[in-house]
Amino acid sequence: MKPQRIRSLRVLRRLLPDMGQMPRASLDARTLYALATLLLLVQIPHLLHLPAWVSLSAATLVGLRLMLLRKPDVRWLTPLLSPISLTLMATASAVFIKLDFGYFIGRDPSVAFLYILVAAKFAEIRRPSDATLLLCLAAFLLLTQYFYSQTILAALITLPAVLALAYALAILRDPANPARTPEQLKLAGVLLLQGLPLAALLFAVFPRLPGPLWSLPEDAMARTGLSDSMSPGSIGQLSQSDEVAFRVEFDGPVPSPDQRYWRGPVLSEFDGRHWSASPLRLETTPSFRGNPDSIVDYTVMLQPHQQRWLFALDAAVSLPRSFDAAADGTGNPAAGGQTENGSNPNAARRQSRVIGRLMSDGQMISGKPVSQVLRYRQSSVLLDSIRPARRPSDETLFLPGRNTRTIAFANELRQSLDSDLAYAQAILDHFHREPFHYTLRPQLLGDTPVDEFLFDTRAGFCEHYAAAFVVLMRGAGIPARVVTGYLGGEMNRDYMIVRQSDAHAWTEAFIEGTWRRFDPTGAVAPSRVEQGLAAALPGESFVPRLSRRQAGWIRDAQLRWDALNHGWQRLVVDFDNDSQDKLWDRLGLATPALWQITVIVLLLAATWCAVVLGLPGMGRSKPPPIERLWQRLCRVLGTHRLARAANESTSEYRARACARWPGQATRLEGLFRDFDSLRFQPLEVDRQLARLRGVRRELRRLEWALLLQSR
Amino acid sequence: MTIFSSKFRQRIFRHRAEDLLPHVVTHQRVYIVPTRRGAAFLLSLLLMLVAAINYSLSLGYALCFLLTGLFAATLLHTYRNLAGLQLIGIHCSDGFAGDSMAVTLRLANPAAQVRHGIRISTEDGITTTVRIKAGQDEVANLALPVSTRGVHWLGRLTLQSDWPLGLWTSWSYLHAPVKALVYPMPERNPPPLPATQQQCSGPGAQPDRQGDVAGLRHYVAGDSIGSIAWKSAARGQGLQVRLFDTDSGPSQTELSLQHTGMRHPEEQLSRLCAWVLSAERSGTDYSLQLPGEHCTAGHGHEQRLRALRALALHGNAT
Amino acid sequence: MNQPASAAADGHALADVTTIDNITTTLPAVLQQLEEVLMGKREQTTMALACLLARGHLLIEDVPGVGKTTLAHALGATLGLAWTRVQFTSDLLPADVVGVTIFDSGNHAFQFKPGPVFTAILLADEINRAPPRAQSALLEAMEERQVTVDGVSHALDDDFFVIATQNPMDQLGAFPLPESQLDRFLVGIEIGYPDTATERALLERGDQRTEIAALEPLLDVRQLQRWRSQCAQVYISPPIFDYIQALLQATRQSSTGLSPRAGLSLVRLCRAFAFLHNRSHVLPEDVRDVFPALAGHRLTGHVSSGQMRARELLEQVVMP
Repeated sequence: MKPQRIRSLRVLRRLLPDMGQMPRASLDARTLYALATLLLLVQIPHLLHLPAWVSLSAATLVGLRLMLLRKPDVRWLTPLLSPISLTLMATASAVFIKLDFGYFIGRDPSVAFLYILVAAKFAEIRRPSDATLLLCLAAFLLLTQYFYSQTILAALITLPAVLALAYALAILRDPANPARTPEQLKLAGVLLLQGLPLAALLFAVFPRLPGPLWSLPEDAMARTGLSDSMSPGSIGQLSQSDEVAFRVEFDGPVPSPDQRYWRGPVLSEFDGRHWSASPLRLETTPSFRGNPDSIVDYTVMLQPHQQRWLFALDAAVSLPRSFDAAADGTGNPAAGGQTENGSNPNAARRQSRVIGRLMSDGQMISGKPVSQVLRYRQSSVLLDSIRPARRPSDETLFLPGRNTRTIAFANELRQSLDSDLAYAQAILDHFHREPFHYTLRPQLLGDTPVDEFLFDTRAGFCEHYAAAFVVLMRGAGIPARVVTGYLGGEMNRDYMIVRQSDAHAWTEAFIEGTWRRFDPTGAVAPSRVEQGLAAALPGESFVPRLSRRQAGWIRDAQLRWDALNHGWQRLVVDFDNDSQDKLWDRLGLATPALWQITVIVLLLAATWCAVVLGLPGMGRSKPPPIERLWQRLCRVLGTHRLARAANESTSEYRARACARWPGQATRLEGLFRDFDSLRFQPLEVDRQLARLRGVRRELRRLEWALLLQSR
Repeated sequence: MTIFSSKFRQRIFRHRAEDLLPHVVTHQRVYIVPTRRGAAFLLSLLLMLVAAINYSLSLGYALCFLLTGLFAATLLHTYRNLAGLQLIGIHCSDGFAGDSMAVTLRLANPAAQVRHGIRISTEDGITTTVRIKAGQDEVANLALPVSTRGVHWLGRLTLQSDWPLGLWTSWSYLHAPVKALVYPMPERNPPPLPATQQQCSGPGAQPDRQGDVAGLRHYVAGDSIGSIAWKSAARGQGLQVRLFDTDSGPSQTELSLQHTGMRHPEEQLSRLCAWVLSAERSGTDYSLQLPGEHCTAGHGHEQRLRALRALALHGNAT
Repeated sequence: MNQPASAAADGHALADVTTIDNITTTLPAVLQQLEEVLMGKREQTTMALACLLARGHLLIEDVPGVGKTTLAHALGATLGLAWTRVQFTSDLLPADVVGVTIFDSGNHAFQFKPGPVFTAILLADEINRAPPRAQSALLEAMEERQVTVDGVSHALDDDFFVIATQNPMDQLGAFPLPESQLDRFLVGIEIGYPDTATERALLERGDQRTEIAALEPLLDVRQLQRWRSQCAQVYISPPIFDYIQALLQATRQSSTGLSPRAGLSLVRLCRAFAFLHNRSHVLPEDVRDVFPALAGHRLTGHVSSGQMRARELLEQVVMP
């Protein structure tokens, strides 16, 4: 038993030859420069989001290592770059990162730590295996930049880094290779280009597994966007971001700016300072009785915000449905044809499905957090009032006893007026008449923010006005709530961009059986509603650039760039299972099952191999048929323990075979004679073919005869 | 069953020398696995894919697949670097034990691409690397140290390559029936050739000392006691042997195991080998008498080969 | 070795070629007669005949007394060709080989007095004893089939065929042929001692030199030339050419490989050999059998060690 095992071990070792990586004492300059170039290219995209000290210390480490390479006799460098001191440095940087970010287990600190780790690894690199580890870490670091940006620019900046990675691998394989750098770069480029078709194929068909595989670290969710609570200043902060919240494509005419209220979280609960959504909400079905011509149909491409709500124009009259070709209003002929004749068995399955619910407060909720770009169809009717199925709950009236001055003011004002509607209008008039001020930078408010805002500071952003209005309404006994969402949106060619800077808060009050929309901000700064944030805040430098109104060609160029990015976003970044389905659809195919996809990938990969290897057969020419038959004869006799000896002539072999199987002697004689004449004699083509057939037949008979004899 | 397994083993490990020239490294004979670096690369690709899935990073997928494409393209290049390579000549030159034998391989590259970094190694781990230009031949030389005399089979060679990026290693075994003769190790300071035939007719016979003493040299085991210069030994100069100025010109000597005066067979052969070489140098005709083998007197290239061959194969079945 | 000219075992061997006349009867007779003279040396006589048919020259490396002269004599007598013997010595001059121009006082003109090369079969005995100048005079005559003396070229016999012998041992005062010159010999063989039975028969029969003179010529010069032209038409199939090429390439590892000229010679010799075996096409075993004789002296400069090496090579190259 034991020798057996030892032998099998030896067999295993012989099967795998040593992998050709000779341990070398130290890496040479060429390898180090190649690795340093790779690090540089990998680290550049991270400069935008990393704390300056992280980038600086990493750069210093790389620089020191290169300096040691240049001047090996600098005495203080060697101990500084020893594994011990570098381990200490890495530990210290982990502590600093914890101090800087406030936490360590999370996406951003991890990236920062990895960033420093890569530089430290480079600083202490000794052996080729270190370089291997470094390359793998660098590749991963290259990926992490997509946490922060997936724009065209981010993609483009990756390409030279990938090239440098391949180049570093080529150098690392054989640093003594005399091939010059351009040659090696060309090789790396050729390899990448040859791999590109396979990469594209995988990208197109690899199934996109939905959502996170495990719960993401907290900071990964902290996307800019609305949250389900509101406190003074929260939306103002949001408005300083240029980031795109979602894009919209309208089937018909685009609604006018003052109608672009994109409804988001509805906040009914109030604790005196914070507004939050009510936990007690019921699901409802959208209904609309009226002129169907007034319905606006559109497609929303929602950026992932890791929350569950969806956005729709006020007021939604349909449930959000998944986007697909059949429902594509732009009129894809292929898709249209399919739905018409219904011959496609897939058509039924491809019916758009409902992806969200409508809640009683008018908010739309999707089944799970939006973690990738979500594209859905939506219909709305542009109304500023909603008639609910039931009376509003008590919480829309609830006021904590803090903002006493406001409540007193509300009671006083309500008493002087005869209707709720007039009261609401009077408040709006109040905002308009009194010296209220619209600003992104209000003063900080204390414990009774509404009181302070209404009577003291009188300067605030939309959430201040909305909060004050709702408190005033509730103070007068009228149910009211805050609605957050986006107001506005900018047309760029055929689609609309809604940015975070369009974030807005407005209010709804329950008057005469309907929820009516009141936008107190419009009373203070009408231009916010009409023209957007920048128009309302002409002097404020906090307004993000893309929201400003002026700046002709720069703005134009930026919009073009956004159009390009939008295309990139739709084609590449938002590529998901739906896009894959659509792709199959384009090809006129039903979406294949997983095994079918696997087969297709394998077939295409085989084609790719053949093309890259260069058809046909890489100079390997098949022997002529007669030679293959001769080899077959030798093989057949060989399996019956009469292998042809080296240097045995055909006649000698024949003699042995005849002696071995005297019963088959005639057949063997004839076969061997035919083989000799076919292989070594000049023959006319037709005779050749006839004999070839004969040989084939005889050979088959011989095979059977020998097989029967051996039984 | 045993036939099958033996065939299977031969197919995979080529433990029998069955590869005849011209040998083409066909696709069935090329094995390819990731190197350690390749495995690490693959692992990091997997991690990247997991990260891309987890964070729904479309560009992450793209980067991961781009590197996968690179990895796959490297596989093809590594494979192509070896597949289709031809061995059109192989030669193993005879040598002396303790020395090395020169192995020469002529490899041809019929393809239109250069073949880079083809590592050829023997089972003893002797390695050389060649680069073969497109459509050309290249000669690879290996110096194989040999320690024991006799027939030395070259054994199995491994052709290996991890070009271009060192992510994959491809290899192919090559076992050609190539052998070389290894002659005994010539003794380093051999005593002079035994004198001509009649002077050495019997063991212990006193050598004829007609010539003048030409000089002294250090004693070597097997020297005749009679030729020791006792005077110089008495002077404390150690054992030395007198050298005689024998007649110049062609003479004939007979070499046999008995004349070596050694016990151990290998040492005897070693001394005979040294004698053959020194006889060739001095142009002396010699005959070689071994049990079961007799080389008639003569000298020259053929005689030398014949004698050395007899010494190399002495006592061996082959 | 399969039997040469064995009554056409494969019935098609000759049926395919109608141009070969009377070969079925003459050829076996020729070989038979040669073998009777040089007992038990059929392989060597066949090779010598093949060499002659392929218009090459023969190098015999062996010790004296094994029958070199007998072979030359028997060949000449059987084929009806004149033969001369030159013993090469260390004082041999080129003129002794090719001839001299002398002044004929009677005609008052220079007259060329032909040397021993002006014959059909020349036996150059112990060629390595002659100084290089004499050697190269002969070798040039062999290559060009003409000699130039004092600026005048004299053509040699069209069937000029040299059998040179050399002693395998290097001796003092010997001038071994340089390897480049060895290429001029198409075939190098050893004759070797006869086996026991043959030797017994030989001893009992006694010296047969006198009988050789009485041998009947079985062939005339015209017929020999027809045979030669028929040799050139023997068919070689592509697999055989592959085999020949692989062999040539396999030789090119050690210091002296076979030159392309040697390759052409091999093809010629294979054809002649196949012809002698009464075939109109070359078989792989023809190549295998002639290869050591062709390659031996070219590979190492010595026939015996070279043939050993050539046989090793044959074992390394795949045979079709």
